[in-house]
Order: sequence, then structure tokens, then C-alpha cells
Amino acid sequence: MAANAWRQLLDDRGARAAIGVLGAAVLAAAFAPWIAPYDPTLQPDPVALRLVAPSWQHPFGTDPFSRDVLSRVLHGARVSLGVATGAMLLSVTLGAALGALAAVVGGWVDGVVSGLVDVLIAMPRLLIVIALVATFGTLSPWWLIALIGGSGWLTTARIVRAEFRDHLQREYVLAARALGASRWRIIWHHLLPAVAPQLAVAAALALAAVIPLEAALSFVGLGIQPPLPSWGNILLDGTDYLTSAWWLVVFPVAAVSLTVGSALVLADRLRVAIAGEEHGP
Amino acid sequence: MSALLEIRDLVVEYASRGGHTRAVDAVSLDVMHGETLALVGESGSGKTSLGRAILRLVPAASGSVRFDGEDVLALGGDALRHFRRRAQVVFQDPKASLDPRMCVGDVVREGIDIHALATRQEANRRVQRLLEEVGLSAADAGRFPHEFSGGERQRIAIARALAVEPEFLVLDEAVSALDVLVRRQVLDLLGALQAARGLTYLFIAHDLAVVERIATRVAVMQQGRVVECAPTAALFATPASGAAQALLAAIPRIPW
Repeated sequence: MAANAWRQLLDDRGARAAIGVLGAAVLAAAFAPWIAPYDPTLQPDPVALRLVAPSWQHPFGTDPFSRDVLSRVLHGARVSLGVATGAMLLSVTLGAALGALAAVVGGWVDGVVSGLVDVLIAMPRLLIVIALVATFGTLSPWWLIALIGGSGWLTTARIVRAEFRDHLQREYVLAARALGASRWRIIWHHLLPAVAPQLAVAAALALAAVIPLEAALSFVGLGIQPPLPSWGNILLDGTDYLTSAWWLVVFPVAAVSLTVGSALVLADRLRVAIAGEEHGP
Repeated sequence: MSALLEIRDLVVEYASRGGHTRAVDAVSLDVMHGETLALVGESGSGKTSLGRAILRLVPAASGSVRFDGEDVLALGGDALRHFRRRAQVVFQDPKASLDPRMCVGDVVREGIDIHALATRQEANRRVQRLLEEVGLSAADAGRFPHEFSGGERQRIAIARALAVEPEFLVLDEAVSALDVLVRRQVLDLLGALQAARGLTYLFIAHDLAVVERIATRVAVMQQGRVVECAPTAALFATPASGAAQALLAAIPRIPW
């Protein structure tokens, strides 16, 4: 069954393009030290090589400190996608766990989780994260993952809670209970596989949400700190030269837009493929 | 004959707007060893709730259920797990009662795994034997529920229930969703399994036509209460309650 959805996904041109872009971004991030033509933090000649326009030597140009922008964008992918992937995994896992807990245990546990979701979902995530970062000062990438991921579990928890509650009433779960299956067994063997497609969609959407979040934080100077490059702080370095050195802005923005756009397309096509599955055989 | 299951004053309530709805209202019934007790009544009469309360799938508000002398409603932990091995259920809609993401082999195996009844290899052999016992083939273990017809799916659900070697089965409208010919085949299978394994059945149905051949006795439910309980032949000959008379009148008779 799942094979059908997968095939349908791969038959779709948009989905293939999205997977291709994301795959290329991940490869670029993974192999950045080998692909990047220069050291991303090296400042070879801050006078002669300052703000050089794109050329064969520097395909994405250089920045105000004479650093190679292509090398910085490639290494920035490492940091940005690393933080984004970590935060996405954390938020989806946390959301799934809390949603499952609320649905399966019910009672006051459900009340607390659902109440928390209702309150927190009304607050803009970026503001929460900025407030926390401002409180704790500048953060290591690990703390950034914890903060961004820890603030993003709400929608996943909602989806998982609703799906679990629906499936708990179904006869196949009753049959498992009648057989003597424990709560854990029912969650692992029946309920999680049932929501796996929705979790995949939630993960793609979470990725699309956290990439700009990290970029925004780094752009306002609260996220990844220089000299470590991230897509957000490369952009920050370029804002003063927006009119004179377009390459400082265009390339990191393109990187963010392409990956976020691909994640959104993937989420959308996944949803269509899953819907087709449910009406299928 | 002694009673395998003794139900006394059982009450099942569901929370509803502004209080409780009584789905089962002080029901007392005995199910004898080896018999088929049919539980018949219109939709909403409480049959399914009664069946589920006996199996501890929904909580009972009050009353008692004794299974082989043990107080079912008080069971917990290992004792409850042991009871679940002895009492099993087959639901109405096999499409809903089989996990669509599990292959048939895993569906049937689940009870064996839960109760650690066999080693991995032995479990596979058991699953194959069970599939053959219910009229499917051992090779079906690798296929998925949606590849089967309604009747075949119900056979899979029966094999799953039998995997833990129960003594008692609640058949909750188990043949109601099947067309007439398939229904007859599944009823024949249930009869053969009962004879071979010495099973006791609580056979829940919404019409009397189905139960005439299979039931030893018939209990008629109406609005949560058992209004009549009699041997099948007696009930068909002289129905005492209005509910039984109405159900009898609803059986289509072909005029010759």
C-alpha cells in the first residue's frame, strides 16, 4: 500500500524536482569541505578582493571581508540545514509523543497538553524564540535546535492527537485490545504506522518552517554567530551593500527559497499521494 | 450443563449530554459451556455494548460478569491478559477490524506474539495451520487484507481470534455484513470450528433469520434489557415478548 503512494509521488514531476533540490542541498551540505573552492572564513585580501563581482575565480563573488561567497553558502548549508533538520526532527518527535500521550492517556493529561497547544499556538513562534534568545544571550547551534524545535511541536501534536483518537475507536484497535495488546504495542504496531503518512507531511512542513526561522534569527544577529556561516548571517553581511553588491543577497536568499519551496512542494505532493492511497484499493 | 459465563445485573452507561445513557440496563444471562447463545435485537438495543463489556473493552457501571467462576470485571494485569486469551471477539466489519497496514500473517500472529505462545518458527507454522483451518491457504500470509473479499477477510478475523486458543467467542454481527451465500459458508465454518474446538459462542445479530440454524438458545434485547430468553425452537414457535414477535415477523418467508 505504502508502495503505491511512493510510486505516485515519484511519478509526479514537481515531487521529483523537489526531492532533487533537497537531495542536492543535503549533498552540498554534507560535502561542503570538499566541494567549496575556498576556506569559508579565509580573508585573503580585504583590500584587493573586497566585494568582487561573480567571476570564474569567485562564481558567487566575494563579501566585504574578501571571503568567497560560494564557499560560505556551501558551508552555510551545513549549518542552516543541520540546524533545520535537527529542529524539524525534534519538533515532529516531540509533537508526535505529546499528541500520542494526550490521546492514549486522556483525562487531565489530555487537558494539559491540549490547553498548552491552544495557548501557545496563538503566539507567533518567531517572537517566542526571539524572546528566549534575548533572555539567554547568544546561543550555540545545539541550543538553537532545542529552541526552534521545542517551539514547533504544536501542529504535529494536534494532528497526532486527533488521528490517534479516531483510530483508537476503530475495530482493529479494539481487536488488538481484546487480544491483550498493551498500550505500547498498540501505539507502535498500529497507531504510529497509521499516522506515518501524516507525520511525513508534518515533517516536510516543519522543515519549510524552520529554515526561514533560523535564517531570520541569524539575520537579526541572534542565531548563528560569525565567523560560522549560515544562510541568515551571510545575508546580514550583505544588507549594507544591497545596491552595490547584489550577489551577497541573491545567493543566500536563493538557497533559502529553493529549499523551503521544495519542502512545501514535497509536503503538498505527499498529501495528494496519501489521499490517493486512501481512496485507492 | 454448567455456565461458562454468568452475567448478573450488568449495567453499561455512556456519558451523554446532561448525564448518562444506559446502553445495557441490568442484564442477567448465562452462557452454557459449548452452546451458542444468540443475542438478538434491533439496532441500539445494547447487544454490542453488552458483548464489549463482557470482554472488558468498555467499562461496566455495575453488576458482575463471571467467566468460569472468575470475576471478570475485577481482573487486572496478568489475570486480565490470561482472560483475553480465553475470550475472543470477531467484529462485524472485517474491513474495519483488520489493520490495513499489516499483512495477514502478522494480523493472525499478533495474539501469538502478545502471549508468547510460540517461537518465531513455530509461530509461522501455527499461522499457516490457522489460515488453512479457516479455509484460506498458507500462502495468503504474505498478502494484505485489501486483497481479499469480505468473506475471506472475516475468515482472517476468525483465524486471528483462534490464534490464542480461546474457549469463548463473541461474534459481534460477524456475518451481518456478508451476502447470503458467503454468510452461509462462514456460518458453516463457525459450526465446524465449534464442534472441533469445543467453543462457546455469544452470537450477536440484529435479525432472527441468521440465528435459527446456529443458536442453541436465543436472548432478545430491547432498549438495554433482555426481554426474553428461550431455546431456539421454542422462541420461534411461541415468541412471548413483543420484541421477539416483531423480529420474527421481519423474517422474509418465501411463500411456496
